[in-house]
Amino acid sequence: MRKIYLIALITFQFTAVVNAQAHYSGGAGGGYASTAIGNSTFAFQGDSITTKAFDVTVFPNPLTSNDVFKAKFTGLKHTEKISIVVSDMIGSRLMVEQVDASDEITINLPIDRLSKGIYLITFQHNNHKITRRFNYSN
Amino acid sequence: MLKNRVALFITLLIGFLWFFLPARANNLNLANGAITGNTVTFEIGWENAWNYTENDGNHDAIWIFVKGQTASGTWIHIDVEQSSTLHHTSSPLTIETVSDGKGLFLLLQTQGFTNVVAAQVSVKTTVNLEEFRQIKIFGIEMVHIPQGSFYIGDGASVSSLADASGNPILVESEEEIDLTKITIHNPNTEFAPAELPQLLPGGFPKGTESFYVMKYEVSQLQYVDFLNTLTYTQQKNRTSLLPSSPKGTFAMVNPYQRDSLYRNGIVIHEPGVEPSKPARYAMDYNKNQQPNDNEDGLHRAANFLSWADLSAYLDWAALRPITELEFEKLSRGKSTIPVAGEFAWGTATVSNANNPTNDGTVFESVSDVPLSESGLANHGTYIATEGWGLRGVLRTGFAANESTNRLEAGATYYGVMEISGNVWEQTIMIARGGENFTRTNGDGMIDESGNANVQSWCNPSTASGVLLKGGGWQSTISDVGSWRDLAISDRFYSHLKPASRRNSVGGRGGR
Repeated sequence: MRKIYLIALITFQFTAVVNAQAHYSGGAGGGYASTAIGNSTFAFQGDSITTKAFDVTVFPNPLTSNDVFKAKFTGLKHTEKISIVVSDMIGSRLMVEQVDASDEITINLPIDRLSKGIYLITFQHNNHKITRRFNYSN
Repeated sequence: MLKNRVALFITLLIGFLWFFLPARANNLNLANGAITGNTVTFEIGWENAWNYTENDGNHDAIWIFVKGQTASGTWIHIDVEQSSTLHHTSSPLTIETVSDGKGLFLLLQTQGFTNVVAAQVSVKTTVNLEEFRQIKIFGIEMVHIPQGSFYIGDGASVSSLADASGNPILVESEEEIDLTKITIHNPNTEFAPAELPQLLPGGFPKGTESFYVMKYEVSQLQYVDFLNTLTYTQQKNRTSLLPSSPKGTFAMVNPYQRDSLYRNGIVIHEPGVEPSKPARYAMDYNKNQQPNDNEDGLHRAANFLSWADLSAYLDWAALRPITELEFEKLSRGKSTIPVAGEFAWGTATVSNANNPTNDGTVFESVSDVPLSESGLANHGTYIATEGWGLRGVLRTGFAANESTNRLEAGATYYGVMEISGNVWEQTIMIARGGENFTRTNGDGMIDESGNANVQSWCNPSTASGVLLKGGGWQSTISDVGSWRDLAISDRFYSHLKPASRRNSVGGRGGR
């Protein structure tokens, strides 16, 4: 009996792949997007340009293993959480954390996973994200 | 026994969900960009990505390119390193570089289909990005058309290409073609079709080699972003009304019929000042002075594009026009026997998309359901009491939803959308000088006037050698062999040069 179930499941999956020349599904939005980095003087609330609803400064920058790494915010709602993602320059995530919103927070970096170099730290508050670079030297 | 039945139910449910799992959208998005030295990093996501290459299928991909605004305000194209080892991306994507370094492709590394969620991408460019005032990353979804022979002509459509007996022709290589052996079948009796030259050179892209084509027509938001990187003079030539026109002026429409938008919402958001300050463009179809809001039809196909407009966009995006032979290949598929009068979805019947739902939003679709064996397309149907019905363009990809098949989505064999209907495609013809076209891609930079400046491309001013294919929102459909603009082999308008902006003409590119 189990064999029949297995065959049924495999048949479903196999059919989906083998019969497909292309994928004809779709939905909302479009097949085009852009994003800007830098001194944009013209930000829309569309999917073309990322808008800022809050701002953040990280310090000290550059920092060493002896420093306490902090972030200072403006425009935050203190009732919400902030998601923090630290990644290296090739996109590998080194830290994912969620903290309570506050005007200033301390970030506990995974020092043992960092080597000298430039890293990215992304803060997400509601639907808005900001990425900052920081320079780490151990 | 009960256990077995429960197990059977669960198994079937898993299988069912696996097969019909709702894929909500295409929703290509780029976010969280950052730069360091020569490197730009960002996140990318899109839904319904597929790779069926190990099952004799094809795949989609995103064409990524980078522009930078210099301290003086001018935008330039930024080349990327040609070695794939210098770029990085996270699972499930892989990177495909191109020999001219004008950008790169991101595609699924694994077989099957999936929704790509916030994949990390790191691209190394050839210049220090920190010297620019602003960096912008652009992404366009493309479909890969595999190598292989295919048929041109369907033995029926007006002015279609055929052999001496009037039958379709199998194109098997990129070698030159003796056009004296090719005839124009069922020639247009109202307007004399363009005469074929003696020879189609080896350099003309014939479609047997693999190539990429944009999955969708150029959207209005796409054209807005292009305009916003141009100088005042360039903008002046790429729009219908002066960039210095007042805020809220619809920029692409016929200047003498400014209220006839045909669902085009491109407006001047901040007027420019001649000659040095370019205008800022935006979408504001609903005229509420809120740019790019959720009812402005951002992803509708861009209409009112002349050949000069489309070719400039393609040069700027480091793409190229597609040829009429490639058009038939990407529609019909490799070695598929043609059906007389067939449309993009491989049958000769069509259902009209005439009743928009969620109008103007990212969910814009239609309530119309295609009849059996019919594909769904936005074309013209004259109703005496209502005129032409929906007079204008729909969202790119409007017909595809989470469970559509090829007919329901109005898709081609390879999954390219809206080849039949919505806006006319501008392709390179095998006549009127178009035969000298080669597969040279744009270099990302247009000339000071805002025109494409790639040598082998058809002249932006005359549009000689450009052929309108696939029909538009106003195209009516009659019997096979007669008026049938949406038919993929139809060449009714080979006499016409699309040098002017028309309310139903747009296009797409390839690489």
